[in-house]
Amino acid sequence: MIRNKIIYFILVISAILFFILYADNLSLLLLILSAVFPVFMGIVTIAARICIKADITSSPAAVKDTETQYKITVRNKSIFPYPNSIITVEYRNIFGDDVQEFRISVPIPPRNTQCITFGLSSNCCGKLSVKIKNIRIYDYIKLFSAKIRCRCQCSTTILPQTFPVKGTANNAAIMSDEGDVFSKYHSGDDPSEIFDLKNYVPGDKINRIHWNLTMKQDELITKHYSQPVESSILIAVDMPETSGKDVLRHIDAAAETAASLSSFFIENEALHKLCCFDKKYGETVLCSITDISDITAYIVKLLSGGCGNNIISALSDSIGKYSKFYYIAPSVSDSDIKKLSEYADTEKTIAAADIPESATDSENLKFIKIEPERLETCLSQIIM
Amino acid sequence: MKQNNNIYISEDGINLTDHLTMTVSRKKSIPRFIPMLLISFCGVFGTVFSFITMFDIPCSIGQIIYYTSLFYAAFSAIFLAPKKVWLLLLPILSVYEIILYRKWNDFLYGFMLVYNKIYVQLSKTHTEYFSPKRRDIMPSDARMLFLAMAIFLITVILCYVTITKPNFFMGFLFSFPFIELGLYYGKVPAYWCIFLLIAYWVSLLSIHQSGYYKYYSKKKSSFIKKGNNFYAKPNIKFRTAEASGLIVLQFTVVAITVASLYVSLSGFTRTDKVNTMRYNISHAVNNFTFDDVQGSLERLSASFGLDSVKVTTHRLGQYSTLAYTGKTDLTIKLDKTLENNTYFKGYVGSVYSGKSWEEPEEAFYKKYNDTFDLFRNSGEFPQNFLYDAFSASDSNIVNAEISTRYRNEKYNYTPYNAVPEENWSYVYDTVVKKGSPQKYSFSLLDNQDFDYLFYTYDDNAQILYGSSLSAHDAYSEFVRDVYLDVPDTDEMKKLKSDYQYLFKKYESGDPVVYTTLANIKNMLAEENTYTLSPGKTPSDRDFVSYFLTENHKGYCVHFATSGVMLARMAGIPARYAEGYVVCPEDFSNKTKLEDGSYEIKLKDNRAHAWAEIYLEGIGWVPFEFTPSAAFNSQQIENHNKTTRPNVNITMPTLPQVSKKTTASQTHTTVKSTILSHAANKNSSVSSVHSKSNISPVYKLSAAAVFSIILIALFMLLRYKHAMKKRIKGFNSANSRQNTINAYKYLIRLLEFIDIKAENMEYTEFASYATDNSRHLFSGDEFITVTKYALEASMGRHEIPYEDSKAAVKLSMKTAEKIYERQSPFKKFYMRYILNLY
Repeated sequence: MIRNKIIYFILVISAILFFILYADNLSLLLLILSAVFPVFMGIVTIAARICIKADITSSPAAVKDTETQYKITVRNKSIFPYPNSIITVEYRNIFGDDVQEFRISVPIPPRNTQCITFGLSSNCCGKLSVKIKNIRIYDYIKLFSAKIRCRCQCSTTILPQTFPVKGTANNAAIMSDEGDVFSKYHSGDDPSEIFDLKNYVPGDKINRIHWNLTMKQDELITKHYSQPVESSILIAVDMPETSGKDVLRHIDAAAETAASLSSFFIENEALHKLCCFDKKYGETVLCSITDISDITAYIVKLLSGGCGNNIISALSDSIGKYSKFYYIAPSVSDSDIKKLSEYADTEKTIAAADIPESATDSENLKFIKIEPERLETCLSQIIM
Repeated sequence: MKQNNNIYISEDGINLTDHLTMTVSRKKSIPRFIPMLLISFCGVFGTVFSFITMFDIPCSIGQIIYYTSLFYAAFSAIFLAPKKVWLLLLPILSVYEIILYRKWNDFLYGFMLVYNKIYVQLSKTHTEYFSPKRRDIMPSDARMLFLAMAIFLITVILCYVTITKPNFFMGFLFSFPFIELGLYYGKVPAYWCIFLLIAYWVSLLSIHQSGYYKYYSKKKSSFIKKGNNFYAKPNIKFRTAEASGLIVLQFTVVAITVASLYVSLSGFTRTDKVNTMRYNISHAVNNFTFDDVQGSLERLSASFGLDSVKVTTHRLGQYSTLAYTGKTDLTIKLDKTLENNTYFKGYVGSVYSGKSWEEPEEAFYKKYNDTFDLFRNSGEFPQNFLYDAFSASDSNIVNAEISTRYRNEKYNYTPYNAVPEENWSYVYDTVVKKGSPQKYSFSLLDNQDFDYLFYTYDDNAQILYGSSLSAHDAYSEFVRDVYLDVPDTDEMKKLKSDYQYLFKKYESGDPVVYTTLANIKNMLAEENTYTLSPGKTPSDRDFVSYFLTENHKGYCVHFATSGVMLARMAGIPARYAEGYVVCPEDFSNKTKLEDGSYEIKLKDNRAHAWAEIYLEGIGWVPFEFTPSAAFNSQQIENHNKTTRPNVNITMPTLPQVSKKTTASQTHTTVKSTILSHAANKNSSVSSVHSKSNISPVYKLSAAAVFSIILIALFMLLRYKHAMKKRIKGFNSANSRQNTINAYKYLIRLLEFIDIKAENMEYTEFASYATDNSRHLFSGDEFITVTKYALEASMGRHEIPYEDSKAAVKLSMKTAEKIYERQSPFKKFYMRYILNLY
């Protein structure tokens, strides 16, 4: 652009010289034209600044490794077309350090709205933040340019994938004599809720026969009572204090571990709770997980929080209430381990990518090192 | 970022896919063909009719319009149509060639007729270039045939470069020469034609600048991806580009129309200032000479109104014409009128080189150091001799104040008989300096009539010693050494022998001063003509010799220089002086101010050159060799210009050298006493300044500063270019090349700190470098990067992006570490000389 300015400046000087040296009115008209033309270009550029607006939208959540479409909408209210414009888009994962940008050189037609769609996918879960950094508009001969700063951005939560966990849940630990929630898969002895009605099979208890139905159906029908279950499992996922490339991978592994674990428990009817720190409200949030959608909502909340949580301190009063406590984090410090060791009754499993070397398993405390490449194996070890 | 099949993956694992789509809500827009038709119409019709109207080619305008329209419509339609339709061009061009072949003689005849028409107009003669004689075809038909064939070619070319692939440079190249030919010779086409052309160029430029054709590929996608950037392809951009061309076309038409209306309705006429500037620029350009680039450039800048900078050059014979601007150079305020012509001297030329007046070398003055020491100690400088001789007379003192318009004025213009002051500084024996040359004041004796001194000098002249005898005696030897010097060339020797008859001498051999001077002056007046347009002196000729023997035309500089040289040949010490002249006529009523003083504005045409003659016992006395009759009439010189400005060139009314038969009583009774100047010993400033010309030291300093600035700029640009290139080399799409570039950079860095590979193998050197620069590399970083580089240059597999990124990172980190450890000088060297960081 500087080259164009220099060339135009030389042109103006030439026009002035031509005006001085050439006595005809032609030279005056050329001088006027060469003087007025940049003014017109300036007006065109200013019009761009006033009349062009842009916005970016996308879906709020997407699964890892799947492409998410982002749509940039550019509105031009002016009558001027802009064949030379460059939109700079910046994107990053808020848990990572890397900020990337790319440029789109695109014309902007007059009095029109155009949509530019592009796709981004992420290998790591987290929160993808995409924003239009600026739009630079050039005039027709690239003498001037206007930079339109757009404060528009959008975020997409990248959800982790879940992996199958090999193993079975110890249902005895979660089956209960009292409780308001009943198992959907197993019968029990709680008469307050009937699990199922079946034909009499020799061996069934006589006092379980449903006499009213038997009379009606002329065959023996027995009642199977429900089994109350209660949640005594707590899975807490902690976020690191800083962002970074390695941290991102660990967060990714932690989120996948938590999601996979939670899915496993749901499949095995192990009601459980997931815990995370809600940065928006500054408090610990406990989510009761009864189905997959609850996991999704939890992950979104977890990843929206960003970095800088330390959930162990917030959970210090709660851990003792649970028979099993799973702590999943990118790293765990000696002080955290010491805090957790205080709760002797609770079975604790600490799964982290970075575990101090001094950490050793004890009766109720187990350490599992999360290796993103061997996540399934780690998950099995957690369950065992 | 990793690159894998055009999918860019950031370090955080975010993939940017390579396809981009764009949709537009309102698809209705101007059909493509309208802007391009309009723009190409302007180009074709503008070019054709500019040519026709510029040279007044005799032809049927109706037929021209018919052929232009026909060809324009045909080719526009073809080029707008799908490419298959372009096959029609083949038969069309074939028909064209057949016609050309069959009608070749007629075509050639038509060409000659048109050429003759143009030639006669441009060469301003009545003689035609060709003399074709054909009786079998009418000249008008032949002319029309030629024009039609030419219009065909112009149309097809301009339509192609405008409609198919708009290219400003091609469009300009094929249209501009047709009008440039005429414009150069002052021919102007019809305004509407040239404005069509301008609109065409501007619109084409805006389309060209949109760059819509820049990124093209055969793939069907809408965008091309290069690196991390997406570029819209022509099929996306062309509508907007053409719409922009249309907007620019509309603006140009409106602007030109409004401007034309304004000019015609307002009756705009150029100011005299512009006309004067045109004249001055033409004159400066015509007189530009590489023999005196500085002076030529200064004249050129002065012609542009940058005339607060004075041209100071003492080169002789470089102007073919003297041109005056009529501006006031000096403003002199005097409290009384002057009765005689008064010379205000600014410059003295002592040594004549044949092409210029110069100062003696410093070494020469050192030879006469004793003489000048005497002047310094006694306070009696040659500049004051004349005053000293007349100071005791009953002359009135006139107070004067001078101001000049030049910012770079070097000289104080002081009159003869100026009253010496304490704050004067003396430039050897030539001029005095006082304070700022832009504004200063002094006092002078009002008896400025020195003519009688010459004719009384020979008659046992009364020696009017005012200063001490010793001062005069000491100075006389210096005068004879310097001011009798004539270049020892054949031309000077010939002049001396040719004009020997003018030199009158006593029996003792001493020259008869007045007679000799009068003879020289009369000879100069009789044999030479005063003119402001004498022409330049050829660079291989002596200035005086050329004037006296060949040209015989000149102005005051010619006469003064020749007079001085002839006087020297006659044995009369003489030197050259420049300055301004005030005449008694200047004190007319209108110059009188309210306080009774007189303000005189000396214009540039009052600049003058004269001679100074040294009279023993008196000092340097001005003598006029320029013929007085030449100044009594105003002359308006005709100059070769495109227009004639309203500038009157007036000759300065210079003093008439006439014999005064009666000197004033006061002059004849001047005492020939030796005055002691003991009182002046302490008051005079005895510092001797260097030459009044620009000191070589200043010139050298200015040149040095300028060179330093240039070198600094060059280094900075070189540095920026190198950095840009390096960054490009690290971020290209080819990770292999990135790795190699990073490795090469590392090697250069290590060489800078004297870790050189010499005859070692790569891996060997890597270990050696790692061992010897532990502070730079942690672990086996460099060894790893070396392996990457070897793989990149010799391996078959693609280098993972992470590896190349690691190599680049290491090189940048190493550069930073090395840079931080260097001394400031080495940092500068590393950065700006070697461009390593």
